[in-house]
Amino acid sequence: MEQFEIKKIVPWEPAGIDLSLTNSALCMIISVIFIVFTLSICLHKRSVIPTKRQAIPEAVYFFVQNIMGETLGKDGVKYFSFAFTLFTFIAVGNILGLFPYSFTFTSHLAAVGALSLFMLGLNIFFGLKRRGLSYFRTFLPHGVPLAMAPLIVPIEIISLLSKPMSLTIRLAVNMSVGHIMLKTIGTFIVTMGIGRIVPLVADMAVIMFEAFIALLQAYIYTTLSCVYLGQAISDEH
Amino acid sequence: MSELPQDILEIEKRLAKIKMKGQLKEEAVSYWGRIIVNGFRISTEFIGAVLVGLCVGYFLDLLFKTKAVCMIIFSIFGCVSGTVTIYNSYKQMEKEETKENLLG
Repeated sequence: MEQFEIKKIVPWEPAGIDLSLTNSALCMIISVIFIVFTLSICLHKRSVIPTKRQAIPEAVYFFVQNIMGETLGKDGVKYFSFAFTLFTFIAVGNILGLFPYSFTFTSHLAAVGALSLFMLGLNIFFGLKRRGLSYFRTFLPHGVPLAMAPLIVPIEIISLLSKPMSLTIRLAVNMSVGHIMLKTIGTFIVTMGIGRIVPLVADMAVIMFEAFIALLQAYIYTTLSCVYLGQAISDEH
Repeated sequence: MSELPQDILEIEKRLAKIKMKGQLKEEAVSYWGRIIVNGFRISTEFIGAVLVGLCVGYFLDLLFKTKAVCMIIFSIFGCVSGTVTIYNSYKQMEKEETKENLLG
């Protein structure tokens, strides 16, 4: 399980607070630099008829736009940059973890949990901004008698908090399980002697499957984040 | 009004065919995408709600020193909340499907 271990690269503890640069933080920084660098290069010379280089970010753009259209409708345009950032960050983070000696920060509950909690905060902020104090009616829907409030309110609060929890579990568990499977099959390649060709082929197949899962999980995370955002800003409940 | 030349009409036909093909492909991707997202959503939302209930109960027990009473109550709340969430998700999916069927 050493592939999931967080190692300090540059230790730094000002006033007893641990702000060290870890392998997880480094991979996040590399992901961001990679996204910015790739997009800058691909969109350096833009033209009306896209070149092959320009077509890559445009395809991602239309893909995310499609997600927004399906989940948020016309209102989705306002939140496009947020969804695009989220999708590219998670997708690159997942793919980056497939490289040897790299680190999958999306397999850590703390990293994904922080992102999901940020999402929850954003949902509450946009919900309050759009609907004002009537946002709190979500916790006691119309038509529910006041006497039922002690039962309904905790259920609705748990329901709200379960959204970031389920987002976190889904992504972190899927990424961890894939990597554990790769490592286990990799161990067979070393120990099986002459029959090692079988786990080698299996490992190659799993790596390809993992690349698909990495993109799929980024798609699911972004779609569900948009769905939850749509629920927060929607007036019907 | 003069008619369009045959080759232009041919190009228009081919463009319409390509567009139709692209649209069908997009619809198929969107359909399967929705199925996968909904499957993952329903399977983890229930677990998420139960875990949140357990965590809230655990911390309330620590706060009020009630040891396991809040945890039991909130785990029940978590189960109910998970069921309600799944039901709401199902209702939303059904609504989307009806809307799509109406639009053709």
